[in-house]
Amino acid sequence: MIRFSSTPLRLAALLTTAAIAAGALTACSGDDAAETDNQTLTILSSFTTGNATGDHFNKIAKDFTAQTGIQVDVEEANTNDIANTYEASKLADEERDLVILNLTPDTTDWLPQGQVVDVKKYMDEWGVTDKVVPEALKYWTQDQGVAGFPYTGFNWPIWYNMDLLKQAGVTQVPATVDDLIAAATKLRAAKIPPMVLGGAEWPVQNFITWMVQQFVKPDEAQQIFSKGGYCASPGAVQGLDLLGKLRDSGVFVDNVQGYTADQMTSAYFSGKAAMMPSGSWSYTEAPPAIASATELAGFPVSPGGAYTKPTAFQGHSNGFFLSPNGEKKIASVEKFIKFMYDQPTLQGWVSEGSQIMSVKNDILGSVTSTQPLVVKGNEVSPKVDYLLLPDNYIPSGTDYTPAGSEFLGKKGQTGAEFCKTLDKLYQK
Amino acid sequence: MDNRAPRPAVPAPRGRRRKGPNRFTPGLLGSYALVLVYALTLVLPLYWLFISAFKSQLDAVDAPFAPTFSSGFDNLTRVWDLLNLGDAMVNSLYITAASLVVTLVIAIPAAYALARSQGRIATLFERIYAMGFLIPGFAALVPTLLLAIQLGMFHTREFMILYLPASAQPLAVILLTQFMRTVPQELEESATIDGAGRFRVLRSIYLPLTMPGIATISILNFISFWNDYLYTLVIVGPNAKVRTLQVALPTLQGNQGITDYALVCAGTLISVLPVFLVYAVLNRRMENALVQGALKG
Repeated sequence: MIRFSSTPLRLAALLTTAAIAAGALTACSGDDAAETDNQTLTILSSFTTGNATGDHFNKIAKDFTAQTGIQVDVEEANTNDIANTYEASKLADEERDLVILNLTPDTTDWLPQGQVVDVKKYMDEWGVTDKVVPEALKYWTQDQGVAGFPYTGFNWPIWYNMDLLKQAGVTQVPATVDDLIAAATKLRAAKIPPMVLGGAEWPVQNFITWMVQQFVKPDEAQQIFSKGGYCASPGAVQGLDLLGKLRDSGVFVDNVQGYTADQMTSAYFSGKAAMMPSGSWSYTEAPPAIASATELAGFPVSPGGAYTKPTAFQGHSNGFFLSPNGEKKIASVEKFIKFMYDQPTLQGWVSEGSQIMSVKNDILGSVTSTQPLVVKGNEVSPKVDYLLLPDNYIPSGTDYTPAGSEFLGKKGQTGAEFCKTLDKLYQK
Repeated sequence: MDNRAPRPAVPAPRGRRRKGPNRFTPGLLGSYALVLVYALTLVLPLYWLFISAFKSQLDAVDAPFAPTFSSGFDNLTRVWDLLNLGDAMVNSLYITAASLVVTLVIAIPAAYALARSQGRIATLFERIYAMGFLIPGFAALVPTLLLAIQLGMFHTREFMILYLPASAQPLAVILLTQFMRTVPQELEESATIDGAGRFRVLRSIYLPLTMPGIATISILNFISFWNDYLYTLVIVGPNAKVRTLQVALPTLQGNQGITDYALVCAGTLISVLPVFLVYAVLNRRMENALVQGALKG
């Protein structure tokens, strides 16, 4: 007699039934975010739990609810996927009321395409315009209006682990490119990997633009980043040659083209690299021993270049995009935005969240972070020239990363060759 | 008295005696070495994942293969609380188990019909199923998204319970059809003579005899459904009430290159446990299926 029964099958059937029953029981608690009323705000956030920004934001959201009675329903998504997630929900008209994200090539299309709302008039009416630093407002301003409420900022210097540099006989932060190459040679002789870079991800794109701007002034740089034309610019080719020179001189760690952004940070944080270009978003994450050994400074001066001081980036990163659904409950949004730009909230982001804010100093007052690297980062500004941040100019969908990774892995390739690859990215 | 008859001396096989001294030939040793290397490539990532889940953030990078256990069980409890993995686990189980049931409920009768039909229409249908392999999963994302919106099922787990079985049908039906063709037709004929209907034949003859095939389909689809990320993220969304484990875990990736990999490994370890459990339950059936395939050539 054929029997359809055995212990494993019964167990599998039991598990299946239990899972379906459990799911069915929770099905009623499914997606109700799209049907929220004015007493609930839904936010799609790149501030994720477990990071300094996410943890602080969750605390603030609870404070806001306690103060106003308005619930804040936060949905977190990985930064790499959050733009796709929002665009898909917008297609269904079920987008969240606010999105916390950077204005990058992934999101610069949102305002022109009507996926988010121009917030200029709300910024003026709610007094936000007067609080935000003009550079941040300029950064978030597009032809169609202001893409979002600028909120946090950043600076992006080079991190130098002075303990490791001193072990190799280098006692000062390199002042010129020649000093940097000499330091890298000494570090390699001491078996210490020199500079780490996320050669396989977005850090390489910014580092390319960093090098190009060693020999190109902001106006020309903006033109090149927007429209291409690397090969037509002698300065840009010279900058790409500099990147090749650093590569061929052994400034970067071995196989740098394979490093992700995470691996870059981890290598520096674990003392496996003496230098790293990275931003203020990592200040709070550095282990204490590394933080105390780190000096923050600009990229060394290139002789004959466009700047006489070491160079770094500063910018205005995360802000609040307002969606069309969010505009339908503008009264709740107004309360939330006013709460976020209230002085105690802003000061809390500095003192507890250790963030750099895109608001004027007189609002922040004398409040400082308890994190030593955040304090050091605030002291970088007088010692560097800030470069043009390319993110707002490089067209959406244009990505230097694959070409940059290839260039980092191809010893001997010149700037004159690499510029052709970059220009091809603009020929669409 | 010992009445046991003396055993005749059994001569060792000639070939065996000749080969004895040369048992470890260079080729055989090379094969063993290759098998060992292959086994290590499979085991090492699992070993790294396991020990990293019990380390501090820096140890995970600084001493990747040293079993330091510097964080004990802290990472597991922390990631469970941080990401509310209990709810995510329920959502993943709900979508995966329900999708698996729907897949089998549709694929088993379809495969039975195709296995027992010999006409041109059956051949045509079998080829249509096979053509399903030609559609890359990523290419179907936008139409699937639009379908979810049109059906009013966007941001629901139930849409995935419809979509995942649909995407799994080509493989499930084609594989099960081949399994069912190995069942002797005489069994069906004798059961029919005894008065069994189609459903009884399927239930009492085909299902038991093709259980290895069904187990294979179940394991393969369980892994596929459980690990689905892109469709689940875009269609179900990241809301903590409905998101799956695979959607929850990537939020651990810091937004600017500051990921705690020890925590990621702890979350990943939790997420692979159900897969191991299912495999442990069904692996004997699946191995039988593979052995059957080997013997039947």
